[in-house]
Amino acid sequence: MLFRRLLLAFVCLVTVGLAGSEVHAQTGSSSGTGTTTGTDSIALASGLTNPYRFLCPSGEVTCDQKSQTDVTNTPRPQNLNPTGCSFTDCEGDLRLDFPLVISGFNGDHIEVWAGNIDCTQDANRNQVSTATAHPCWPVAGNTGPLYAVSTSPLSYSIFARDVLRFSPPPQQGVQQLWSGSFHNSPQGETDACHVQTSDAAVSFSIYFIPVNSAFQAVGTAYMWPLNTDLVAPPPPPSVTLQSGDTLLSVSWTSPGDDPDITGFALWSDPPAAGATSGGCSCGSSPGSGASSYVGADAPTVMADVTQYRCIDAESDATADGEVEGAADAPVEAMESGAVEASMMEGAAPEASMPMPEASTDGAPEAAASEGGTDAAGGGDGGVTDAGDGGMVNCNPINVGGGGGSCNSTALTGRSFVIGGGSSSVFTEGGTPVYDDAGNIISTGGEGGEALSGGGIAEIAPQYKGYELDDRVPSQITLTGFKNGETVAVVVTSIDAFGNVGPVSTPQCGQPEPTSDFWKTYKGDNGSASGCALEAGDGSSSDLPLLAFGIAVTGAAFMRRRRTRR
Amino acid sequence: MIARTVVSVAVAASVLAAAPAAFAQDDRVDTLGTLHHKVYESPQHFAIELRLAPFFYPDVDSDPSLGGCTPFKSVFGPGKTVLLSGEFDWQVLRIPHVGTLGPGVGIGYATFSGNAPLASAGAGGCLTSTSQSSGESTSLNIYPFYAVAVFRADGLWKDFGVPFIPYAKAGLGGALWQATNTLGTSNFDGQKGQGYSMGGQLAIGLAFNLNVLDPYAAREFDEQMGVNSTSLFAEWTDASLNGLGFQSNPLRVGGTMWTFGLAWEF
Repeated sequence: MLFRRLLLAFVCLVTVGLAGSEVHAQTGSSSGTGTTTGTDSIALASGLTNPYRFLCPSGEVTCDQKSQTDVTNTPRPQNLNPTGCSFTDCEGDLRLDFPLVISGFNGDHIEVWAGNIDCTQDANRNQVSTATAHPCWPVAGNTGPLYAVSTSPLSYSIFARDVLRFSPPPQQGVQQLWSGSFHNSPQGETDACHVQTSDAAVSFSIYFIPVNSAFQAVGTAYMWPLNTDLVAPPPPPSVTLQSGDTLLSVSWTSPGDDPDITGFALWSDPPAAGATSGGCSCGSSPGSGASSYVGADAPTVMADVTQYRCIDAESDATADGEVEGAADAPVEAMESGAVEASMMEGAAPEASMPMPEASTDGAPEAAASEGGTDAAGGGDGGVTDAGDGGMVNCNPINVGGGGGSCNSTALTGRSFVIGGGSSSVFTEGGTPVYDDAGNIISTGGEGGEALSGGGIAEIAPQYKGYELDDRVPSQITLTGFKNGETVAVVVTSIDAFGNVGPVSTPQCGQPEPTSDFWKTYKGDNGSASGCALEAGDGSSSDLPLLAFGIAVTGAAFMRRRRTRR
Repeated sequence: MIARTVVSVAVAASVLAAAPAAFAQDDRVDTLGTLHHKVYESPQHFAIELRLAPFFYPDVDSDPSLGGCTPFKSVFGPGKTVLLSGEFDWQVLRIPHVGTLGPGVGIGYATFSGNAPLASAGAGGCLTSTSQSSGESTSLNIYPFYAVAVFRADGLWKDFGVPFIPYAKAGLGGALWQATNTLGTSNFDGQKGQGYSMGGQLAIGLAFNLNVLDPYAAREFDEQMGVNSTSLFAEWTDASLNGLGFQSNPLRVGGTMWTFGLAWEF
């Protein structure tokens, strides 16, 4: 055994001498951190700064690994934490694939843990006594003993839900275990995605820790930070509508000085055809069909509106500016490094190590029941409507009321508010809330402890009328409606992860014909003609002639002046 | 068309006719001096004005075709607005002991805005007699311009140091205008709410030469920057953009107003 280790170390040294420099260079620019000193090294494969990302198809909160789609190259915009984890990422069972190059390995195997403290400390991973809770939790199965080291990447698949399974908090005498089936289960979606009790972002680190046969960390681990935010800020407390000719002017008040707010989104049912904000006009705006006046000409400049993953993939095709979904082709099974081989040069599939998931070895943790946490969780929700696929009501327009408050199921049909809310409660179930001793103090039927109305709303993107990338409320005009029709409008807050918060109390308005100055003037038989009349009175076509006359005058004068000199 | 051609030719002719005298003046300007300007004075050929008309209100509702309706007042109310403008004068001719004469051009900007009322037929056939404000904005942007002959009677200042300079301007005025709403340029039965209006431009005013307050600084300003004088002025302006005979149906976006500002001659 010792001879084998020495031989292995020698091979590694040679390997590192040939390829290590590139790996270390990569480590330096990676989002994560790896070994730069010592005898072993774990780093993302060369050329990578982040792991690959895979999501369930839109609208599916559970899916097997094979049906996940590669969204590595279609992330959120840079201002929305594209490498982090949002609520929609969690709902999509985000999978992070880490192709790791391991060299100089002198441990027994590698364990993968998550936490917001240093999980390389053995005490933070292992329960010292029944009175002590371990603050880190495993997020993947252990590899088997690593008897050989290759420059070919060793791929680890980490599911965000396993990382986000930080509730219940570490409890005395209870060790949170990793289960390969947790993430892809309705309970996993509930226990991981609906557990955040503050709308502020939460940061974790994923540790790939080389350990010896006694499960003690050896060498230097590789750490990759994962910023998460599963809860958006509360909505504006007050939304006001004012009618115009085929339009509604929307203003709202700030929900408070919540640092998590980065912007607002306006939604309407029926959808708006465009929007204007000050001098900026977004989208096309058809003229009025009901007004006796001809609608104003609207510029058709498209706004830089950021859209998010649509819940109903089929109905999202018309959403402007949306980050298109992932590649259609599902990812093939990751077993035996199939994916790595397709993504990286020199990655020999046969040389890759088995996937962690496929190697739920007989580590001591496996002896414990995974029902330890689940038995305590669950809440009382997730019963009635959870099975409807989670679709928002995209089709029927169900708007009631002729003004003031009203409702639209398309806008309010799917959302949850932490601490409950009068207008909308997520129907997929809640998450239990624990006290410091680990006792359940609430079944969490409405999402957990109160957070002044923070939560999540999921509205089909075609209902989005405008997105304001400013935390200061403004006045936005939604355009393109028909005069006389009732329109429901809600406003949501948006955070830095693109999470859409709960909707404001829906307000209804009806666009009506107006008399702006020009229409009023003409309606009162004013004689000025404007630009439409090309010949004669008031036409702009006369201006060049006048300008020409002035120019000729000036030129003639200058010419005369030069002549005199 | 004929009227416009006549105007253009007239402007050209007047300028050309005045030019010889102006250049003759160039030769003597360095030697000009007054009782209070015995030291060096740089040549003076131009003037610029920064103008502010704080009580501008256009004569839109004076259109006879409106039949007494007051659409402008109904939509924007009786409140006046500020018209900002600038003017550049070329003092082509200096008349000794009297003043300067030459052409000047100016441009400006003013806007009126408010919320468009909901459409309703009011009493007396005027659309706007009874109205309720909507969430749609409406505005009228006005860009006045003019070309005038400017006479500045600065003889008293030059000869006797009296710092008050009366002046007068007369010429052609006009304005580009644009009526907008929330969605852009307003439109009525295919007629866009934008165009221009022409008319006459008259003004009389009185300037107060600030040089008298600090002659030393004024001389420094002249020696270093070539600015002969700095003046405050008040002016009564009549920009009657009523078509002036060759435009039959202008939107009357001009009016009479008091204008105040600063003028620099150089």
